[in-house]
Amino acid sequence: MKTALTRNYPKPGGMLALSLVCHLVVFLIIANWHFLPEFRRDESPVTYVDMVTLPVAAPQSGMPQAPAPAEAKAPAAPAPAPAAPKPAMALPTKPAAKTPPVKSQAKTEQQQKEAEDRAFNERMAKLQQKAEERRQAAAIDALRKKGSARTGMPGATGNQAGSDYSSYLQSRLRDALKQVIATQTKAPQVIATITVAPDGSIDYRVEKGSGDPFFDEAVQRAVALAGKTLVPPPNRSQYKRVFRFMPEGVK
Amino acid sequence: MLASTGLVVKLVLLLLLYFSVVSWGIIFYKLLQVYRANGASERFLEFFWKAKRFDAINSQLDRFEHSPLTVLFQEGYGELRKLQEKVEEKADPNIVSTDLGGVDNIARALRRATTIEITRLEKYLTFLATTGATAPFVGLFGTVWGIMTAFEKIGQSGSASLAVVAPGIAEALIATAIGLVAAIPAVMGYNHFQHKIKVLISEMDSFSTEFLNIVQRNFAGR
Repeated sequence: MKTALTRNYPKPGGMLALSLVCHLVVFLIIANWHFLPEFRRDESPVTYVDMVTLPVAAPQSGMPQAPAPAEAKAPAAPAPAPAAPKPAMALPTKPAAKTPPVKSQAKTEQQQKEAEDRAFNERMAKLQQKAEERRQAAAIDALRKKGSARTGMPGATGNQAGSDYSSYLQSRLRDALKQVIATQTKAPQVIATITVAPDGSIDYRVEKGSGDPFFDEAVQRAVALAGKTLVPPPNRSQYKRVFRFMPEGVK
Repeated sequence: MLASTGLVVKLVLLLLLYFSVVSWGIIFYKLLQVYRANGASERFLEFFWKAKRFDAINSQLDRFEHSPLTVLFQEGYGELRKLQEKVEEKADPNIVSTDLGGVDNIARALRRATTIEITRLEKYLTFLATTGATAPFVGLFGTVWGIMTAFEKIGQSGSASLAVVAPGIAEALIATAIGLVAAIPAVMGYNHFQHKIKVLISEMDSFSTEFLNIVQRNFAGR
């Protein structure tokens, strides 16, 4: 007869093997599902607003038009005719019989003065408008000449402001690099040829690496990130250019 | 992600993996053991109260081999047989003399069997307790070490951007996470099995008392 001391109890070896198998299965599931956090930055698309070609809010600056209800109540402002014989503003007219002739003459002179002032204001407004137009044109030309400014309109044909596809691509690459930048050395620099196909897909070839694996990877990720929301080059053509990637920006 | 961690963190992770694997092995083993012990004990008690004779019960013990109560019965019955054999050498074979300490002998045999069964049931539970208490600290050690290493790398690179700082700290925090993953089931399992074993111990105590009562009622002083 077996006693308490001589009994053979089952050993936990089988259960340890089962536990090992379970851990292996869990590890494989996690590894295949990429469950572990990768700490990716938020890659939400960036919205660009072209400040240069925004429509002008008030094309007739300096010439505010009276609102419609005001027109209904009072007669509209007179046409820009300085020699208009009648008074521009509809002043309440008093019966002529009650006014003395001296006062009437003084009033006529006052009205003429007002008409002259109004004509002067109109001329000044026109001059100011022309000056403003010239200033805007100069600003557009300056921005067009300045390659690094964010003036790019990717779909432009080359005859209008912000038509530089190079500037557009550069600004996208620069913004993407800012989002994913990582460096290990002091001043890394990567020279790469970027090719944008007519369908908008981006290709990337490193001409000269930086020697900094963090920065090289960051540039690669930046190109991929910029390529996600890239507009194809104009005229269904292929675009190719060499860019220099640095922590300060892209040139 | 884990491939780029340092040697110390890797060792910590391996240790925690060992803790986790062994803990779960013990949890599975104890689940099976306690489940079988409870089921077999219930069936054995039912059979015990229906049976009329100890020798009939003794012949059927193999059916309830996972129950700790069968061990108690075996020990008590074995001691009873020894006392009977000793008395048979004397005059009356059916008398177990309490004056000679026969019931006390059986009580001692039952206590010894109870102790052995408690030891068997509680075996390996200390590992669960140790894992529950130390695994979070081991993980924390790995995390602290990993963060130290990460800061050293940041200092060497000269860049404090999030892209450089975050991966090192994330790798370090994995150690704490795995420490908790190992510790939480171990603590839960330990508490669960402690409760179940306490129930089994009280069953064994009740059974010992009942067995001694039956022996004294039917064999002693006749």
